[in-house]
Amino acid sequence: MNSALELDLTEIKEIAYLNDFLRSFFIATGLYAEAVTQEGETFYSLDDISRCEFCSIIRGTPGGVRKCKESYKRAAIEAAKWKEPYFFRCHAGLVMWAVPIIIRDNPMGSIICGQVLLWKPDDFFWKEQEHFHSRNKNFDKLIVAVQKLEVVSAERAQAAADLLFIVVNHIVKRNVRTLEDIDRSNKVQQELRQKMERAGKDTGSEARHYETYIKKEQALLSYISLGDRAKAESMFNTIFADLFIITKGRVEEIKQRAFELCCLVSRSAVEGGVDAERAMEILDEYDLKASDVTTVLFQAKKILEYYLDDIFAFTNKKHLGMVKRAREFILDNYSQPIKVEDISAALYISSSHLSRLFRQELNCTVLEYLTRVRIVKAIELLKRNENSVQDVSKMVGFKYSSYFVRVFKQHTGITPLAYRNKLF
Amino acid sequence: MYETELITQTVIDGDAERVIQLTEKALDKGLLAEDILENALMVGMNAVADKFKHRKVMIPEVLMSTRAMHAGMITLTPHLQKTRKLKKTKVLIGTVAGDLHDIGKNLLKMILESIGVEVIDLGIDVSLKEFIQSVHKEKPQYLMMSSLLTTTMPVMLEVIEELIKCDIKRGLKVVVGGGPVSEVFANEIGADLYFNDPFEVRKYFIEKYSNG
Repeated sequence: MNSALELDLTEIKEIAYLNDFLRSFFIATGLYAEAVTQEGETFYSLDDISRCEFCSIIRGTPGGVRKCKESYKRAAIEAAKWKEPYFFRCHAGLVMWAVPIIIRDNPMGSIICGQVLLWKPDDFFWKEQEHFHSRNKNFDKLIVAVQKLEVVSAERAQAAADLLFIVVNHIVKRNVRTLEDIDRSNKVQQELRQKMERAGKDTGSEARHYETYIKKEQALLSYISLGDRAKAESMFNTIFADLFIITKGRVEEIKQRAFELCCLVSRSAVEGGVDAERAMEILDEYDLKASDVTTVLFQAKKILEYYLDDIFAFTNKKHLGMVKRAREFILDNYSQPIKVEDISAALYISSSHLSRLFRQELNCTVLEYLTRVRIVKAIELLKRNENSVQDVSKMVGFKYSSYFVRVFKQHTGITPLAYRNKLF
Repeated sequence: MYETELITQTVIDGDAERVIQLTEKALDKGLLAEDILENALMVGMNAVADKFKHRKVMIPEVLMSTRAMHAGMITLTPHLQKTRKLKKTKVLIGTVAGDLHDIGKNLLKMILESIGVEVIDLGIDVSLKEFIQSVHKEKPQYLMMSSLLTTTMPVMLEVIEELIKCDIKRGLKVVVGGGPVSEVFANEIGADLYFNDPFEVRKYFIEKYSNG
């Protein structure tokens, strides 16, 4: 063992388990594995099992060991960065993979495994070898050694890497939840990248400014307060993609905006039916110390999901279906002059039953919810300033515009006309 | 064309040897190297990249496809049209620090060299310092930076800001590219040019620097 490592005793115990595991792994799979530090230095390998002949020859050449170390070092860094097995070709052209060893959030090194080929040594392989080590004195010996290398399929390589990864994580007693979080975090980053690429390729895309960003934020908040999950999630991704472009990737600015967004979301969630105490509890989970974009994005998304889950936190699945359908019906038909009886009739239940469900699950009456939807939509229309107040009133389903004006003022504090004029 | 489709599928399958055979056959049949590159090899690589985005392919398979692509590129290199005589232009190219992707960069390098542009390849994982030092040393007309990871894109902005600060931005055009990089982003960070693919770059150079 390399004594230059500064590990405390408990950590050495964890790494000691590696011995038994690596031995069994080798016997079961025939694949060579060794543990290296983040500098690429081997700190553990099985005593009685040596590297393949090809590697021995390569390491025997001038600078060979140094180049191996550099390959391993780079691989260990990448594996620790992505927190998953990192596949690569070493400086001599062999296929390997590095499985990160992360103990309590500190990357301690990697298990390097492989030293195999994914393809038979064909003509192109030799062309590559000439390129990889042209003036090697032992080229003839290498040719012989290559024939002895194992050729594995992609599936086998992936399976071996996955197996190592699972076991290493178990050995260092990783929290399974942390692994799930990492996977979800990767998925989220993937979605963001896709969204950015799509947005960027839009030939009609407007330059990104905070003006449009704030408008999208407002749309997100209204989706949340109405419990429109699908639209909320989609808008969230769009907002983050835009934010990345506006801030040119600057982490501090992204952090600030993400936190502001979570604060605003928390208030809208309360409007959407989340209990205020609970809303604050969720917001408290936000870690202001998170320092990279992926983590910031991921935790903002997690918080959003908590709020959306809570808006739909039902104990009874049947009720869930019923109220959800009622909300969908309302979102589809708010522009018609519908009444509570129309909604319950569409669901084949009595209006008193529907009222009870809404009171139970959303803590409001059906009419209150319907009105809220209408007012939110009215606000959107008034912003566009294309229609008169009378027209907007009809478009959101109010039969009498005088009633619309009264209700609008109740909800927003000012009349629709004042609202529309205030904007322009 | 059937030949190109076959090559594309072989790149996706990751069979380097067969890609070489099929490419040579296609060249013998009279297909242009540029044609094979754009419509067979690149289509294959893009398909693999797309599959990877949707998590439908394993990384070892991507390694095999990359190798197959590389094999095809090497086979085509001597056949790429070198008849154009362009005015002397020098380009610096590299993948930004923290990023190890290089297929796009290598493809671009190959295409530019085939039309007579001098390309100095700084490689992968190039730091801000290396970019600046190289610009000082080589004095190119173009600096091309590539990034395939959203986390490394801000480095491009840093390089541009440093170039302006050191007052060596004059006479130098900065080009950025890579999967997540968009024209909008390129404009935001102050890059001079953005191209969707290496063929647009080639078209630009030929139009701008032809002697005829």
